[in-house]
Amino acid sequence: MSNQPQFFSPLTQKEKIASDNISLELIDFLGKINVRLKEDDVQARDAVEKYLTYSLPKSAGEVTGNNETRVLWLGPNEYLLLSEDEKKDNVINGLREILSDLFCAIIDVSDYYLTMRLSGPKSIEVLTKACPLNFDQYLTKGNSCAQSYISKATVLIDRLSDDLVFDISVRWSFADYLWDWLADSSNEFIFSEK
Amino acid sequence: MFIINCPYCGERDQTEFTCHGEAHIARPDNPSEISDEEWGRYLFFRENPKGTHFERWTHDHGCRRWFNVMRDTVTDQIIKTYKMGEAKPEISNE
Amino acid sequence: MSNQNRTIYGGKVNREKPINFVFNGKSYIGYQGDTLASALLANDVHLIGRSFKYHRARGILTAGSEEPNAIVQLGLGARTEPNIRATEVELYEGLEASSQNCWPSVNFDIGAMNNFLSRIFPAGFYYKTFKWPPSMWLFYEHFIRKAAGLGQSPTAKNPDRYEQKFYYTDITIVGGGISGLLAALGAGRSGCKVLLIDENPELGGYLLDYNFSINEKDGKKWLKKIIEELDGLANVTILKRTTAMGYYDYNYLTALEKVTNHHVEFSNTLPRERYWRIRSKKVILAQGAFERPLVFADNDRPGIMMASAGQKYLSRYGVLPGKSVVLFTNNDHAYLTAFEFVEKGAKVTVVDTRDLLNARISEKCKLLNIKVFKSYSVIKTYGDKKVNRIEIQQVDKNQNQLTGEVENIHTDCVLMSGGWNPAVQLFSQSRGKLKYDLKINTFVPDKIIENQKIIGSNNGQFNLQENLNESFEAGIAAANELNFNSVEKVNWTGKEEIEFTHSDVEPYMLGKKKVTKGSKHFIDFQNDVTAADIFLAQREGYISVEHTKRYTTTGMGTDQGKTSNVNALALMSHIHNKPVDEIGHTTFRPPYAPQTIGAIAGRSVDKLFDPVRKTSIHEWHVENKAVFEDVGQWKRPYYFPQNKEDIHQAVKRECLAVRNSLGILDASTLGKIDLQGPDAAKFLNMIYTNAWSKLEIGSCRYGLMCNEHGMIFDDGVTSRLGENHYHMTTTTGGAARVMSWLEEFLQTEWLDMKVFCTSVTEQWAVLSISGPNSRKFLEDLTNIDLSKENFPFMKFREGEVCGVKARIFRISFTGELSYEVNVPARYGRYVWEKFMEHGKKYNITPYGTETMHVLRAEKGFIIVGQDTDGSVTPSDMNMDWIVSKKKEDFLGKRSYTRSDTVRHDRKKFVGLLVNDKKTILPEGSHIVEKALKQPPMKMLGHITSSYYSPTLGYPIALAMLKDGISKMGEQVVVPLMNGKIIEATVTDTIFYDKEGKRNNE
Repeated sequence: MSNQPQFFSPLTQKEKIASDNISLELIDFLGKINVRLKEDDVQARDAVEKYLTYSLPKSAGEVTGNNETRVLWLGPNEYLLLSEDEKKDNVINGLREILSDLFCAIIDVSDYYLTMRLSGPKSIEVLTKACPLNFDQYLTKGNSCAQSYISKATVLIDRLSDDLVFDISVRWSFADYLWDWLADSSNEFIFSEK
Repeated sequence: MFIINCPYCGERDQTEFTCHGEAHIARPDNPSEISDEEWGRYLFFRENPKGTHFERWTHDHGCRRWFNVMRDTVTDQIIKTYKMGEAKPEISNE
Repeated sequence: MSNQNRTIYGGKVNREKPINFVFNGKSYIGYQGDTLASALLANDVHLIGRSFKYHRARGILTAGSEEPNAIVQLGLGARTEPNIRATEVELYEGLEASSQNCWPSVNFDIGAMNNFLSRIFPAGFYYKTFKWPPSMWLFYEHFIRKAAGLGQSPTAKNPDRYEQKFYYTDITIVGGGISGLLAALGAGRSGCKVLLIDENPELGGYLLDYNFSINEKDGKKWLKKIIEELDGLANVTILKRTTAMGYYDYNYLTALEKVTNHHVEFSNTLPRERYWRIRSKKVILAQGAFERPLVFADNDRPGIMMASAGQKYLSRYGVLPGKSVVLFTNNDHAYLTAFEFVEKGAKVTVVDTRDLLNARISEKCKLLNIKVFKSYSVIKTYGDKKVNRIEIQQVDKNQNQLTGEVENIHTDCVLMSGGWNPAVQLFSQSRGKLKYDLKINTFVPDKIIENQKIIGSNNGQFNLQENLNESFEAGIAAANELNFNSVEKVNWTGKEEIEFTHSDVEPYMLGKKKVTKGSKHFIDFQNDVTAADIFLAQREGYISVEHTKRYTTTGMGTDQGKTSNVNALALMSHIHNKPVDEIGHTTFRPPYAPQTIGAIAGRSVDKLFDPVRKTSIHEWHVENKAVFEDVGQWKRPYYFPQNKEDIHQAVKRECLAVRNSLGILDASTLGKIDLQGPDAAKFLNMIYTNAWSKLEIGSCRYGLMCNEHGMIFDDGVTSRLGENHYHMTTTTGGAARVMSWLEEFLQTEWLDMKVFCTSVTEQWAVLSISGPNSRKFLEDLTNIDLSKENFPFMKFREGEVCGVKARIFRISFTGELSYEVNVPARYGRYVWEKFMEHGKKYNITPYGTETMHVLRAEKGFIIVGQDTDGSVTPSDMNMDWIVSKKKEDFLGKRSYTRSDTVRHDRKKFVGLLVNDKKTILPEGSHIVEKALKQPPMKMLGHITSSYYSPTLGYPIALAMLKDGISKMGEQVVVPLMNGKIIEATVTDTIFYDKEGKRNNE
């Protein structure tokens, strides 16, 4: 055993799915930072936006970002900031510093969620098997997000592009279940090619 | 099965939400000064109207916010949803 | 001879494609496109099963989902399914089906003697007979169930897949007959998203069976064109073989799609059925209507069927169910069938209850040589396993009685038509109100509640011409109301084969008279409810329509009275001499038709049945042979057996390892909540019963949470990480509840309080190491100073453990020197494995929840939810020390002065030691005042926790005991289920290390 601490996630042992219709893969650990600000706290909001160099999402489903970070709307006073895993401590410290006198909470939740990527022309068909979201109304384009559930797991779905690419984040303890569920639901589309 | 218009997230399926009973029951400011009966009223007594009812709901599988719902218990029609802290809407006498 | 009843030409079955199938063990041949019912009729099989109560011979009554009689057991082995309507089953190669409700065979059925014993089986028989004594019910039930025999459940696990789907659309149209198709076309051309669902394999409904013309052209060709256009519209989705099952508020529909039921080969990837959950802005109901039976003596024999069913078998399947046919009708429409039968070579006689006949129909009857008995009624039928003769007699309308000579007609098929009932089931489920239409003598939709339209015969509109244009316009209007552009209206001219009026239906109810003794006038075929039963129910006072339904069971079969309800109501109306509207109708509830449980379960079966929540160290536990325990959705190691240890041996070893050296527990499942904000301490003061203002940074404190009733609902340790920053832990099972509780008060009560709560449960893997060697062990692996002086009990430190950034809480649930090491979940397994490796010299022992429970019980620590049950206060648990007297207010405080919580005789938390030093009292056992031979005994309390203590070498128990504190040292008795009475001594709750020295080391 090396002395370098080893990562482990329950999904590393899962066999990924790659087909023309549907793909499912594990996303490496990302920096995930829960950012809490009061919705009417202009000062805190301005400070964060200045630090990030872009605006925070203003309403449900919005995703903002630049090359380095992205911010997903989770609630009126709650955001999820995504960064490269190695840079997350910098971002956390940076934010805490500029917000030091203000009412806020910056929390590392990088291991709270695990993220899997579902993509391909059949991905909405897979999702709607057990997700009650109206995909005509929500997640209709790239850089949009929505929280809902898939079967019996609460999820955060992040549509990365206008193509059908969805990053689905779920609490670590539900990841094994959700992966199995998505893989099972993808089944009919993998084989229908043949 | 309702479609509930979450004041933050928009229209969503009822299964994303949980109902937490009657709304606008404020916790007494001075519990130690009120009688057992008044305390009991806060703890146990709830309206059960045939008609307009005010309830608290949470969007558990969404933004996790609590909000209020004004609903007709006869038709199940949701008349209005509104954020916590907003005034209780008037009941119109149609 | 095969297919002897098949016409020489006609029908839509593919005669090039014969299909082999088996019914009741005998092989037959049908054709592609047949249903099981049509193929059986083609082979002259009319006896399909026995009836539910009287075991009477029954055949095929209808040709659709409303079928009450032709119910079969379909398939074999794990795929066998009972109560399947033969009229709906599409024939496939190798299909096997058999009759239900008969033993030993359908032709010789022992239960048929019930028919002759029917005077002892009246309505309400079960209520009257099996009411008393209650103890006999199980005995009765055994025989009732056996005799009733509603088919067989499969005994093996169903190997099929069932899928589900959420679907949103602008407009859902239920029913793909003419009305539904045209509505879909109107809406579809407007560009809105349309879902059209139909339960049949082929669209067209009524129009597939009857001859008609549109704009002077052949109607079937016109139909084909309409369907082609719909198929070409990208915004229109058509689901065939799909039955709308439930219609709930907010236009929420559920529907069951048969995906591969009708396939020969079962698919490994495609589901057998798909359960749709459909949300629509608008719903258009176009389900059409069911033909209504007529009620006459012995109207249930095989060979007696609905006229529309006869029409369908003949025109769609090319099956002539009889050659010498009697049509018994009260309306014009059924004559279309008479004409069709004559054309295909049958001899037809008509018995019409009315005395006036439409001139065009009279003329055509003459032309086709059809004899019509006007103002006549069928009064009795004969034939053992199939009808072979009927008796008819003239009706004197003024006298309301039969008159004249009884005439005999020999026949092999009776077609009956009592008019049509709109299929109002879904409409009624959607809370739509019905009214009785005296012109067509049935219930029709009246007031609509949902955002919905109801069209065509489903709305009581039977005129083809009007339906064509109204339905199309309804589709346009629906789209319009959703702000889609209008499309041009089209004017179609539709003509049936002969002009007639649908409203010319005579209310007719022969069952009201006792014509012939020993015969039965069936109202509800499936549940064997006769007109006499309805009379009886009224006589015995079950007058309300809901009472009549339950007393007689009319409308309560798997067909939910689709053919019987209106006749039952009409008869009640007659008996009470009241309009049917005043009789009312029973409530229609989902599902519309029987549906598989598998479809409702969907893929939530086997390993996907419910989420199994796993910690980041889970796989190590699996690899090391842990036995798991379910804690909510979590899997937690229960114990880690070595070699061939049983639970007692393993737990004993694990307990002693912790007490003597070093144990390790995966405590990752504990709920963890991050609290931040300037009001965090103020908030904690309100949430917990004790005081938090003075907790220093770097310190931990145990807290008890109570609800406003003052009852304990969770506990845990909260630590102060920074000036305005706290880390709260909750019980594993209480994590979500606590989070919701905190948010409830922050979001609804104290909106100005500045605190943010964020769940971080899964962020941290928690490795709890415990035992006298834990400091020595951990010192080697961390840069944190663990010395007693610098890191005392109930403190928190941050640093590195095994090279990983970690938080260490020095808290203890075992009473030993303990450290709870928190590392980010991704390193959980890595650090655990390092611990196992470095702990070898201390014989580090992984332990599970059972050992944890024993160790904490030895120390008298409570487990919320095990020792408490939502009805105990901190004082009941002798925890007054944790309830602040100084704080002005906190959640639950006010309730501690309620008369009930200050009672002196409340149950209190105590310890118990059995006098024999060996019996482990079962948890849940009662402590009684005096042990008697049998209950009732006066109860004083109950055992909440009970274990053998390996540390002490004898059993210990915790209990709630009435006035327990004043009973210290006294003797109590605990009677066990096996009759033994165990004596025990009341003690305090701490059994080991009463001074609490060990965890302070």
